[in-house]
Amino acid sequence: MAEASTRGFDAGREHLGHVYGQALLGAAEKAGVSEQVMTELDSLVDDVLEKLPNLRDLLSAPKVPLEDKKRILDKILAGAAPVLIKGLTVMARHGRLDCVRDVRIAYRRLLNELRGRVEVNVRVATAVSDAELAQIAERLRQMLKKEVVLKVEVHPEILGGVIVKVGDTLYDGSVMARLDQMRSKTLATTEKELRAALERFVAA
Amino acid sequence: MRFNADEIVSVIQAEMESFQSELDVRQVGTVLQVGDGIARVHGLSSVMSGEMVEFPSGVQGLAFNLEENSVGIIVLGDYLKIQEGDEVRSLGKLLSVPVGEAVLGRVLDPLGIPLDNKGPVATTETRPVEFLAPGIAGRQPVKEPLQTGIKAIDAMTPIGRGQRELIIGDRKTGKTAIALDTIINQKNSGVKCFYVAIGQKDANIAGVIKVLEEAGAMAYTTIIVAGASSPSPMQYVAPYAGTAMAEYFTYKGEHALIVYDDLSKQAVAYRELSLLMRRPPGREAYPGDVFYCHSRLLERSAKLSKDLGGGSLTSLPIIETLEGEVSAYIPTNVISITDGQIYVQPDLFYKGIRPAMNVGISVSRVGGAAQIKAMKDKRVAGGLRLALAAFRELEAFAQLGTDLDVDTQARLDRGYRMVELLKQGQFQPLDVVDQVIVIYAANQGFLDKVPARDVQNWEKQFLQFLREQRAQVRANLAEKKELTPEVVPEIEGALKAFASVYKPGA
Repeated sequence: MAEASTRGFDAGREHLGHVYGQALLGAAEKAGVSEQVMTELDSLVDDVLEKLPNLRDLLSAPKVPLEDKKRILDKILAGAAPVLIKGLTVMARHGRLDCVRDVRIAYRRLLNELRGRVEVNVRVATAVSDAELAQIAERLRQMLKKEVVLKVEVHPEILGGVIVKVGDTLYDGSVMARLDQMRSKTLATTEKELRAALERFVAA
Repeated sequence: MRFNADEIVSVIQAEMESFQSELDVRQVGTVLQVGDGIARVHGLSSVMSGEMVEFPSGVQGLAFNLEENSVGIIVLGDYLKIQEGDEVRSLGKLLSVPVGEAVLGRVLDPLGIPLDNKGPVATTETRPVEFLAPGIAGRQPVKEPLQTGIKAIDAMTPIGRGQRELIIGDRKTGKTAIALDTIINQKNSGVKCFYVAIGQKDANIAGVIKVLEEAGAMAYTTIIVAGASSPSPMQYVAPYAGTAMAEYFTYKGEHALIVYDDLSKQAVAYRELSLLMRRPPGREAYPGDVFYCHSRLLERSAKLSKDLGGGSLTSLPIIETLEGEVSAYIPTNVISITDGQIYVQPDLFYKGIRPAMNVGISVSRVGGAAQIKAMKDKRVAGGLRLALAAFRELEAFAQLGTDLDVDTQARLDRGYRMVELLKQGQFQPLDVVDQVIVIYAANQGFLDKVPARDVQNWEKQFLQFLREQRAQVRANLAEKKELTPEVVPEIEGALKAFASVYKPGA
């Protein structure tokens, strides 16, 4: 979702991503390489397309001939799973190489669904050790009764505690949220007491 | 008693000690797009329509459009503080406003935030802004009068408590003046008043506040302001918020009056929101549910049944027409929703007939049942509408310059005097007893000898005479509320006695 938001949201693209993602996953499942395709797709987006915007533009440009795009893809993806190469070639033929990132998002979601896994975003104040992460993951697994894939982000401004996000639901156990709660409650009570005191004073 | 500085400290300390934090569980989403008072949010997959959401800057919003991939939020506050990528949290509650006695005398925005520098609104009670109107079993017919203090209205298009009476007309024809007169006339009647200003110039609103303050009407009036500079979500929400504040009194068994000034601007604000949300435009580019937008609002005005306490909410919606075009979309909608309309016209206004009410096409469909018997009497306002209609016809005919017989001339003369009598200055509401007596006088020919241009002077002197020398007549009528055989001779006696002391052209 964060990826979608950094580039602006496009319902059409999301839909396309879903269509191609589903097709790619179907093919990869048949070949038994879905996890490999996931890793390679991640690496393609994060290590290549993100870092070389020119290449991304070239691949999505409609003016570039299909043959050239195929040649570039073959070069970049040398050694990758044949399913992924074929999939991207099909996308190139349909002029949909601008949707690779949306395909990645949809592919990951569908694969997680298929494996009964759930992606959990965890925000902490300071870096946590692997042991602690394992502990968090174990607790979440018990709570959600599903395999969890943790994505950890470090946000010093939450001061402490942990914020867990599963899908669109946010469990906020951070020190910042507690302080906020305490602040608003105390303010409300103090205001009430002050007003009562004033009324007593006026009445007296 | 002794005050202690530690008191406050101890309160805070106790609060801290007893504080138990709960795990905050909420639905979240990410802002994709923001502008023009709306935000498009990705996520929030189980948010409900009308649910409140909160942006990181503390600004709140309302889930307005639920779509397959995103949620359209109307932002109630400063949308410029919201950025793309911001996390939006659902609050799991509906929009509500503070209500209670404390809102009276205040100037508030549609969220209940004070705009009058008189400190916070001292109340803990709130009511949801969107509230279902009472059903059939929860209502009873309109039966008590709501006196506007305006002769022409109380006589010919009477308004009952729980009625919706539309005030419609072009700009600058005195629509707001009618509503303000009605508010001013509610002094000592126990009716709580609410004035909702939507899309108006702030200078005009300041003028309204000043008028009400000078008339001593602010003590029982609340003003809800969503001026022309407010973003459209505020203008859209304002009438619902005002109604929620008024309903507090209605459901307590009291009586309330609410003025929506004006609903055409609210419809425009709603159209703006709907178009930004990409809802399909319909006639005049208004969305398909603009009728429902107004009907659900005005249905909340009602006379409640005895079981619900018998309270009432009367509403005076105002609609501004363009060049007298009443067959435009919004005017026809609101005409069909309300229980009658007061139609004000610029040509009458410039002729000096103020309130510039067109008697022929103004109606009140239910108010007649709420009129006091004395006013309904055939000798007072009973046949007034028809008589005035006949007079207008005759007047048009007389302009042709034909010679008129004595009888026709007499009817014309009486008509001129009646028209003069129904003129009334702004912010000078008249008690219903006085109204009955002067209309009775004109109908029974006591004004025939008074020159038409002197009628208003006659009225002024006569009412003063009545108050000073024949107070008993007023008191009797006020008590009986009916033209009984005992009351009529008293009135006629007073009129005859006054004829000798009347000073024309004074």
